[in-house]
Amino acid sequence: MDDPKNPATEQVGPISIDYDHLDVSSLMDQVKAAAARTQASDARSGPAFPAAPGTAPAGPDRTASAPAPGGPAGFKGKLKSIALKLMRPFFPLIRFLGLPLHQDIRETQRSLSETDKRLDALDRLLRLQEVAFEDKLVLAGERTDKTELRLDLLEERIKDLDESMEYIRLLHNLGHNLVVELTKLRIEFDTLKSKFEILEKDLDYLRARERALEETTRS
Amino acid sequence: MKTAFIVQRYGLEINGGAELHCRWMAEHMRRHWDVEVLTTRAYDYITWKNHYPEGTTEVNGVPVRRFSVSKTRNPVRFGRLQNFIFENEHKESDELAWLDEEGPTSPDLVRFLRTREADYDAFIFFSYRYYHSYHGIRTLPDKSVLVPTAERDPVIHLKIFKDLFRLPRAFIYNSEEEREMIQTVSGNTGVPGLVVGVGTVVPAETSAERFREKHGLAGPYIIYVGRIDENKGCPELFDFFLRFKAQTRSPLKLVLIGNSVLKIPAHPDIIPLGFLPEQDKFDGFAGAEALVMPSFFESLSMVTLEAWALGRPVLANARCDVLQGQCRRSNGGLYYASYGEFREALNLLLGSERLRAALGANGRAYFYANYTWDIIESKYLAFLGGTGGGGR
Repeated sequence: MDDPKNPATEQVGPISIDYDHLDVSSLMDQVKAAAARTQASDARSGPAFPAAPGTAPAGPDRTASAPAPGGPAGFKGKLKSIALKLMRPFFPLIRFLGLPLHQDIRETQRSLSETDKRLDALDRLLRLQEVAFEDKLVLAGERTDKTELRLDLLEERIKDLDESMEYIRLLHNLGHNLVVELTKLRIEFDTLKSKFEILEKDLDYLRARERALEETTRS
Repeated sequence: MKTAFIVQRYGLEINGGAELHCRWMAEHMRRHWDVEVLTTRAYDYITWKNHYPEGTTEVNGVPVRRFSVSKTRNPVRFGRLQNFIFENEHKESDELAWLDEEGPTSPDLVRFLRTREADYDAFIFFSYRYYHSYHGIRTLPDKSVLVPTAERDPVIHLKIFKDLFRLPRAFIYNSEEEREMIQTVSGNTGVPGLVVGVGTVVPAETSAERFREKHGLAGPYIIYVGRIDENKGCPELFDFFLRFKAQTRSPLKLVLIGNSVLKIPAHPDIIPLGFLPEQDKFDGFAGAEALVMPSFFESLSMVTLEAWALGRPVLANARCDVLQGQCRRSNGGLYYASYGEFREALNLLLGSERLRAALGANGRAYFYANYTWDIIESKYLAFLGGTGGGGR
């Protein structure tokens, strides 16, 4: 019957303690579960983390559509835009005649040309590395073959060793048996020796008795 | 039975784990065996500088033969070499160079073992990782017994020790976890071994009031006893404790007993008391809600056993498999592997006096079943055999 002052179980927060079968492992399972629950609720109710300083907000890049610095502004700008509007129908002709292109287009072209040269250089490097890599692959293949050969040799040696171990075990057993047999023989030898000594003593005794009887008979 | 106990340092002033373990064992086993301690002249474990006089003296009735250390350790060179072998592919010769650098290098001690082997029936080596054990066991493997006092640190995985662990005639382990670890790294299941540990004696009388009065303590507290060091997990303990205080507004205090080698946070509820006499330590246990053991590496925590001997529960670092194993086997303590678990486990302990009493009672039963000196001595005698010759 449970003692009302000391019930078999006790509830401490989320953890139930069974004093009849107090088991630290099961208590720790409950502790771990409680810790995980608390951690989860902390994560849910906790303040949202502010974006790290310097991190750009998500969304379209506004600077992409922003006017270029130093763009048309004021009277000069207006004049330029009117001139461009008037010239628009002649643009294809201007391009066709190869008149000097706009500065930024020329810069772009130069940059593309540089990039092209770099790509060519990289391509050459890549080809060289490919050749070197192929050579290394061949070498690695040869080494793998050699390693496999060595492994085969090693396996053979292990087999030899296993056989040797077997022989050693047999020799050990043989040695053991020989020792046992020698011990038995020794014991038998000792027994026979004892018997021989007893017989020898009996014989001496009988001889003495014989002599005594002979003397008695003579007298 | 004439038995030599071999350890890197020996003396009443030395409170280190393996050294103290060896001294206690030698002092207790001299009732049964003819015991002699073979050690170096070193006192300082950083440099191994010769400190004690050479030759034979007597410490608490045990004859102690000291041998000179041939070269002191250069901590910088040793640290560099240790980093190299832990972080790089290396050869066995590098590991031997590391061992030589670690010390305490005493060729005289090894020479003595070689020449006087016949005079002793057994040689019990303490601490596998030092010069004396490596070279000593290799010199006389058939008469060697190793008490490895191994922790789960990278040294255990060095190749030289893998081979060493297969050599001794027998092992005496401190815990099941230590045995499992050594058998895993070396595969030495064929070498006989027994889990024994070390005993301790608790004073007949302790007083929580005396401790509170002497140190001006009021309110509940948990206690840590040991060197206040990073390796012992103290920085993490301080962090967890302060977070616990901030979250729960608990009046709990953390009392620290032991010398400090790091900066202790200045907080009114973290109370460092420094190194205290044994009686004060036990009085401190008596008044504590629990002992907290934040260490990551232990081969056997004597402090934990002492807390259990006094019926106090333990809150241990679960990442130390020895501590966790002891808590599970004894049912005498809880453990934590994260702050969340620390908070919940500590809340649970503080929330139920009945649970603290039950865990403490289990711990006490575990201590009296396994770690009293009578039991420890009888285990040594049953395992290594032989009586007589001693009994002075």
